[in-house]
Amino acid sequence: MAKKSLKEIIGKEWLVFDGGFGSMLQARGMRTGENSANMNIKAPEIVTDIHSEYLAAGAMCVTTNTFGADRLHLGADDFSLERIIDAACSNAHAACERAGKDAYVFYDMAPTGKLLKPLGDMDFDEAYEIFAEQVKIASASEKIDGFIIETFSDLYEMKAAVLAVKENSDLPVIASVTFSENGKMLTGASPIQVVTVLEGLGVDMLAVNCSLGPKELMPIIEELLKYARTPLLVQPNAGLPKFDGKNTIYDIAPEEFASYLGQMMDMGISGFGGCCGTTPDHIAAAVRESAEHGFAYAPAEEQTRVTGTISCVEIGKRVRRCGERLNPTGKKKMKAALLEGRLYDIVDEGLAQVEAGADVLDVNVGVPGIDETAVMTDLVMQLQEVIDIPLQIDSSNPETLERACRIYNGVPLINSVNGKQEVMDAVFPIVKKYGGVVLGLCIDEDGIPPTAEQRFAIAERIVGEAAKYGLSSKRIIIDSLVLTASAQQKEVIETVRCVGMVTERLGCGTALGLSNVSFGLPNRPLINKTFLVMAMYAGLKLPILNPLDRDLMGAIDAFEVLNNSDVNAEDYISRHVNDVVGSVVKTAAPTGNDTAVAGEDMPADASELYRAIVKGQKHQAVEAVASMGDVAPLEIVSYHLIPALDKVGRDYDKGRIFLPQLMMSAETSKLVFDEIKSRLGSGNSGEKKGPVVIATVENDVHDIGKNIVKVVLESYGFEVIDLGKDVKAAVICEAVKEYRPLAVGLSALMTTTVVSMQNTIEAMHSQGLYTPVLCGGAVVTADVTKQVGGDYYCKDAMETVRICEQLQENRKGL
Amino acid sequence: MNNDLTKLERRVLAYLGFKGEADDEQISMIQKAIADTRRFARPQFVYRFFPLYETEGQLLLKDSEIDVGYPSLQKMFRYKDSQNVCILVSTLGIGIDNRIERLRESDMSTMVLTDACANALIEDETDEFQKRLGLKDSTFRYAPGYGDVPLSLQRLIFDGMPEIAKIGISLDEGCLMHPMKSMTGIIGFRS
Repeated sequence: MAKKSLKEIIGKEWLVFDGGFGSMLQARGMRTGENSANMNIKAPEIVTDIHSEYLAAGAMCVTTNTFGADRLHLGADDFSLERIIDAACSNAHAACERAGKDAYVFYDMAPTGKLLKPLGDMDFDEAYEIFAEQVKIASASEKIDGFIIETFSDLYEMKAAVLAVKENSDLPVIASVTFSENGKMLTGASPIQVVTVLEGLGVDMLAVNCSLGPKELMPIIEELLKYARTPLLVQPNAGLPKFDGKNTIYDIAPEEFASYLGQMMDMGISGFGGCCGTTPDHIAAAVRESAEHGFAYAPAEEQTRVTGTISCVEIGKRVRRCGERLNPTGKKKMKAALLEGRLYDIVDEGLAQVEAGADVLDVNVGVPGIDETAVMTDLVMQLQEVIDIPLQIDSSNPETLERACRIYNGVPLINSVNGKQEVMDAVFPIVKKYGGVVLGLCIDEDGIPPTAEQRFAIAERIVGEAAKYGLSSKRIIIDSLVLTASAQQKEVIETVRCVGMVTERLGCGTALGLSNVSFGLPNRPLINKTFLVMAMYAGLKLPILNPLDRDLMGAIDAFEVLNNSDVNAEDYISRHVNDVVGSVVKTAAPTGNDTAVAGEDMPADASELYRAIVKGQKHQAVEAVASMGDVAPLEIVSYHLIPALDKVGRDYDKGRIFLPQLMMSAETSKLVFDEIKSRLGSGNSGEKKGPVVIATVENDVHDIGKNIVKVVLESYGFEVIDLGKDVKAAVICEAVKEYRPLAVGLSALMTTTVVSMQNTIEAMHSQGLYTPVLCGGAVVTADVTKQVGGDYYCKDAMETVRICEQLQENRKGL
Repeated sequence: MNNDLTKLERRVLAYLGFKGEADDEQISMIQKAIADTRRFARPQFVYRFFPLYETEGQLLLKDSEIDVGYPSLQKMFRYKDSQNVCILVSTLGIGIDNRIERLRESDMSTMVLTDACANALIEDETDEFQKRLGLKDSTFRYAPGYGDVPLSLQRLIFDGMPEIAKIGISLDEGCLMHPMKSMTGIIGFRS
């Protein structure tokens, strides 16, 4: 009888794996610290013997001894990667031959041991290459039946490994992750997220190994099985690692180990084996146990889910809010930010939407004149650094979609396909390969049809075409497309009808971009909100809207209560308990309350400008100074600005306000200064103070303190020449010669860099530069200042101002 | 009234060098900054246990090149009668460094606030994690670079614990950790 193929076994009968390998090798004399992969060549008979022991114990799958066989782990003293992998595959294959029974060899692939960007410093593509190299060599050996990628603690790295296998081999792939005590992977992924991502990538089997003992894994397995449609393999450790004062030990006996696995068999796992601390005895006990249990695998019902870095959003039961604002269409600021490469501004906009309650963020960078693919991948990376919710990758360029989906950490929403055949041909393969859910737009070669029935027909075509790729309707969200009520009034209701038809007949989720509907009409928010409610009642699940629009967001909350989705109105109450109902205040809320707090001793006749500077309100300050066009500039400085700054300085010294508030006032007054300077014109700039040269000394990269000093000095009208951080003595000397400053401010944070401070001062003196030197920084004291040869010790920014004012006076006196 | 503040909030105030009573406006500023900082922080930890053994009057780590023979560490171990040592390394990840770097360009006062929050947060998170480890009769968490323990000890710790790289921390020539919001702690404990 020919050997059954793995695909015939997986999910239909127990798949029995082997147990721990490293400890078995050590028991046979391998030195600790040596890369165990070398043993495949140094002592092939030992490796083959261990495989054979597991096969004799009842295992039907052996994993090659290749944990750590990659170019990062192998050193100069080790054998070449090709030789090691080839030998490992041969050893495992030989054991199977010798056993004379149906057995399968799995190539074992371990993590790189490095963390991918943005958490670490390895590029996704670099990780991919490390895995792909192994896959190619192992496949070429023709001695393996499948791949097991195991002990991964980061889902993103797992994605690189799975892609490496799928793109370089046709063999089955098992993806095995590890969980920490908190029930999550090291980088934060939860079980539902693991299932969603790995199934999206199309692995043949999900698996959990290592991490915990079988008892501790139980709730995690339960959770995984609740969502998994793919068969699950479990390979626990022999208990939790214990520390006996000398070594790490695992002490669960084979029978106990097997009884826990027995419980998991009843829960519905499809395969088992062991990890750290398990032996052939553990596997034999588990095989005996499996004879007592029926095979209970049953796939869970498919749902529409997408993931972010540490989140998973299900679209179906509840209405989810997709933030629309990361899109340059009609937004000058975002367009400029994209063209100038200020992606962090866009990230901040994304954060604001998350804060406002978005569940998913649409990301579109379509601006003429930029490299869309490069900008999109950069932006997705930067967004995922700080935003954990799923993204909706929005582009009409398939290359952009493909590249962004590839480096995306998780499975995204993909925006979009439509009824055009060429678009479906280009986009569905991307959805198939990278997982995720795709938006299907009810438009085709002939444009947007007028009636609901015609749009529904396009939706049906999209779902039908997806099925050819093995993508169910749960992987599609239909957008029935919103038209403008002012121009195509009778077609608006058709959109709502189409939402209803798709929801009832196709079982897909539905999305709509709302804001179009009100174009050209007064009080647009009212139209938008009413339309949203109509569409939600018809079944809309993913409105694409501005999450900062509190009215719209509130309408969703209210709808969810009335639709019986928000049980006990819990979410509604938590979000709206403090709502004030009544007359709408059009202008900014009166500031009566907080002026009372900060302005306890604000003079009764204090000007707007004075108040704005004290409170650090930049906008108000600029307005106030603009309205003082008839006041002489120097009068503004002497009677408003300086008194306000003095008050802030006093409050700070007395501990009434804290540093960031001092700085806010300083930044505000600097803006006012700039305004006044421009009014004076270049010819007459009034009193000129400074300049002051400041720098963080060589080898020191901490420059926060120095920056504070800069802001505060500038607020007092000093010209500041900031040389930056890690500045060499020679550079500082040059600056002193060039600018002839009032003073030189040196900052050092660490005891180890105080030396650089001393070197700098010595260098200055040796060149005859005796400009006063001010020293500051965390470890600097008055004594340290003296030791290194500085002239003044500045305990904080205010002190620096006082000393510089004094020096300025002295200079005038000369 | 500041007694209602959490330990973390009090720590932020302390790191800002603030000694007065914070008013509502200041408290809400801090709370907002902490929430913002948390969004950019991805706390991660690695640790290893080492048994201590005594030789020539010194308590040293078994099977390890990491030298803990410095008087202040020795005194600390003796005082608590430590039998083991835990080396605990933690980080908030590169995200928060990047955030602070960006704020430098755009909003210096928020940068200072965020920096203080990040410093407080890593202490706080590490405290919490250490609590979960359940070290009996543990000592103070001692960091290289304090007192007589040189910063260069970091090099030995990183060489001896390659798993530190797994959470994305690397050491530069000056033995400073990157990401910057990272900590190394040496803790003695009984069992």
